[in-house]
Amino acid sequence: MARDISATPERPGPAEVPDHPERRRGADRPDRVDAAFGEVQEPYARRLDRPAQPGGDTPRETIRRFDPERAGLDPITHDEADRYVRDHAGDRPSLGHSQFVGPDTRRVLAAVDRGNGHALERHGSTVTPEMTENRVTRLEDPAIAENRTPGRDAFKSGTHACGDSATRIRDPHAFATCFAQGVEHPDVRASLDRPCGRGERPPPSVRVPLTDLLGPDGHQYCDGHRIEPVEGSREAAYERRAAWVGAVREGRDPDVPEPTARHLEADDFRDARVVFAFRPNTDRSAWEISTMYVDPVRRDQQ
Amino acid sequence: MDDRYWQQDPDAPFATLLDLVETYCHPEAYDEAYDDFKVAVHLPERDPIFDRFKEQLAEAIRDPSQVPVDALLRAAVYPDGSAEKFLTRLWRDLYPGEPLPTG
Repeated sequence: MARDISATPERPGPAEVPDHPERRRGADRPDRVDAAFGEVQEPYARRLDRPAQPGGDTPRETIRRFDPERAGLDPITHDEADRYVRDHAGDRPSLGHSQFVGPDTRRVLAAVDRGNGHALERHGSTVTPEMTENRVTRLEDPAIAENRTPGRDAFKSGTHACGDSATRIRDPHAFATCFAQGVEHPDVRASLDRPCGRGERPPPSVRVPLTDLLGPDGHQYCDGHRIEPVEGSREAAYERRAAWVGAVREGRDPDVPEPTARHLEADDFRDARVVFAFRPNTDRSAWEISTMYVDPVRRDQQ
Repeated sequence: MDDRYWQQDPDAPFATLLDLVETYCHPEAYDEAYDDFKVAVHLPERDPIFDRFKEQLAEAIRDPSQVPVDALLRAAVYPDGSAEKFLTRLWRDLYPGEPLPTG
């Protein structure tokens, strides 16, 4: 079920991640977290003991009981997660923040990263604003560690694709909480529990209010970019993007202007939905979460 | 507000078309989704929903004016420039050798 890491040759060689008890304990210490993720007003690590919903479980409880197998992922112990991060943090930038988080959060991030999906690589906290902008305008894949080029996909030979926006959850604790909470959400469970096999179509994507998973100010942990329409048309914007990327990939000078995007700030994520999409696992015996991303409501829809 | 009305109302016009297009063609669909789609529509043991899909796709190609373009664009984020071009490409990819449905 786990991804074959050797199949992503774009990544440079592994780097050392120190395995020290202090690293484990330091994860949820606010000073350490502030230093790593200071751009967020209140690091989510500081609120792991506050229920996202009145009377509900705390994020820490949800993360602690996270069961990878319920998400269609391979089981992983804390020690295995530590080892996975230590062995792959250098060649998998998506794991870059995993050394700053606690063991329970690290186990969630490692389990997600080992799976077949791309939620962490494309929508996790190590994705930068520049990467979301370049993804939505130039179809550059954030999952490629270095030398991203327009249209190149980290995992398939065809052209990389993107919707009308590219977003991230910019705090690793918030990302892990969102994923772990999502796996327990009844709508997500109904999809994951569907029979999987030859002839079975994947469950439709599920859209869960962000506030249900991260609490009423969950939007504070999100940002991204949305492609600008062309003369008021999103259809024309997608066509222009494809034409621009196609020309660059073929080494031609594009005959259309480079697409542009608008930065999506935290406030744009009020009323946002978290989208969970599904795929068959490696042996097609169960459904797995193929991606999880935050989809802000467009103002023209509200 | 969630605008994926086809998920809430399977009897809405072209709901099956929109549902499967979003599942298999949306940019955030899994890597092999489009290839799986091409296989799934031809499996002998396929879900009957794939036959409803084919009927709705044919209906949409025959009369593109009936297609809810905004919903289709939301479901597929197609780069083709028009719903008509996207639907035609989809038919040719899924049912190669079968003529395009006409009036």
